[in-house]
Amino acid sequence: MSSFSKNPLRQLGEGVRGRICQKMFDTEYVMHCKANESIDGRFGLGPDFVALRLAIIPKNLLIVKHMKRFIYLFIAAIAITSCQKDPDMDDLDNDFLVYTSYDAQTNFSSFTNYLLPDSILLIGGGSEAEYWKGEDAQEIIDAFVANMNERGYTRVTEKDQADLGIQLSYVKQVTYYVGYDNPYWWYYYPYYWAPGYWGNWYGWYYPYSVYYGYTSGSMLSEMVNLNAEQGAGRKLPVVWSTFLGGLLSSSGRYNLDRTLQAVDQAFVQSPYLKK
Amino acid sequence: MKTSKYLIVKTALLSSLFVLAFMPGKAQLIQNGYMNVDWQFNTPLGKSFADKASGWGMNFESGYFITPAITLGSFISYHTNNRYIDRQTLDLGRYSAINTDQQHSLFQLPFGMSGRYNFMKESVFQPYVGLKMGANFARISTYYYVFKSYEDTWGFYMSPELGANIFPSPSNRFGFHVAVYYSYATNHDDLWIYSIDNLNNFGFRIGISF
Repeated sequence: MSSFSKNPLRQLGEGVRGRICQKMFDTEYVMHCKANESIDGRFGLGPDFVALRLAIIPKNLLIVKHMKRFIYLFIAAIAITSCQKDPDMDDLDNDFLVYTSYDAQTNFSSFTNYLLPDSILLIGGGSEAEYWKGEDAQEIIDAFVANMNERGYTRVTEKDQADLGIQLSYVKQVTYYVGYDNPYWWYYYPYYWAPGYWGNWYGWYYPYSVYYGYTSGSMLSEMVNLNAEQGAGRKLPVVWSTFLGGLLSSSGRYNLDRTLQAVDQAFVQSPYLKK
Repeated sequence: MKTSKYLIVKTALLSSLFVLAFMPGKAQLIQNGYMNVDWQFNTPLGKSFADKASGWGMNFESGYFITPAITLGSFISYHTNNRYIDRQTLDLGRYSAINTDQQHSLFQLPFGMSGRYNFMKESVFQPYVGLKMGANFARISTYYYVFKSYEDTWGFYMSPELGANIFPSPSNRFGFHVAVYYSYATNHDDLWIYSIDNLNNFGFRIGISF
């Protein structure tokens, strides 16, 4: 209990608790009252206060106490309400996202032949390379072939005859992130498409930014320039790439149809791919 | 509608939290002061990045009577508006293109100082005219497939307001609050092919006052 330069309780005399508290706000001190405690009798209060414990607290301390309460409430309010409301993703049409990038310095009309292997690499299938060669895979490959042929290119079966190579990959179950800092994640996964598959190159070269996520059910395609200079320290340029991403349904046929539509769309939004 | 109901419930719970936090105590938390906790319904005006009206927002405001009629205080509020964008092919620059549909989202969080001129302070219905000024944080986002791209921007914020505090018992100053407002913010930013250049909003607030 602090010592006081004046005794506000004596000034107030007898009265109910509420009156005292109200008055105290207007004085140098405020009072905190709590029931069922014995009274400090120094102030000679009357019987109305017998059941009360009176604590005189300097007003600035009470303000601090209130401030703490405000801070707690502010934190609680922010914690409850700070989240931005995300829109309803169910409103999206669930068709495939089709993302394409290309090298603006490449003259695509200068190419004639392309090589497209007859299988699709499955990413995330296991520790060893796994290739998808079934009927569904063939339909997807055929969709790429049809679009390439329509653009005036010719499919060949020998690497040394090809100007362009197209590699297809399907993300089976894992999620990778490809960013500015690490676009070459397949360095760390065995047996995937490697520059050495196409020729004497050491690494990939992307002339454009690559910064999209690979999610399960995604179809990836990359077109490489096989006319690029080979040798020690030379990298194989990826001159066109696509990312086809969609939420898979339980219907394999439906998923395949959407994939085929997405392949067509990738070419629609790539008018520069033309012989 | 479901989301609005959810926010109303959340507002009620939050308001209850405030009330309970200050009990037992005086109904007027700050001597000669006030506090409002509101649910908010907001409509972006003009050609907006996300123009669908929504009730996804709240407003918190407190102030002090520097004269019997004039209050000065501070506020913070937030709101989210969304908009569905049909599937289309977009040239993203950097030699990239994307074909997708999108959900656009505009999140605004203004805060700053507020002032009010109050009328009929001793009556049950206590109208006022107010003006808020401060900073406005805005995040423009696009959701597509399983991804989200966004940009953050800051701007100057100003909002005139007409409202009223309704105190069934004016002596203890615990009651309801209603207000309509217009707001303008100078935020500017670009996301993909979209851009925002000044934000205009109109809306109303319903809440509690004490």
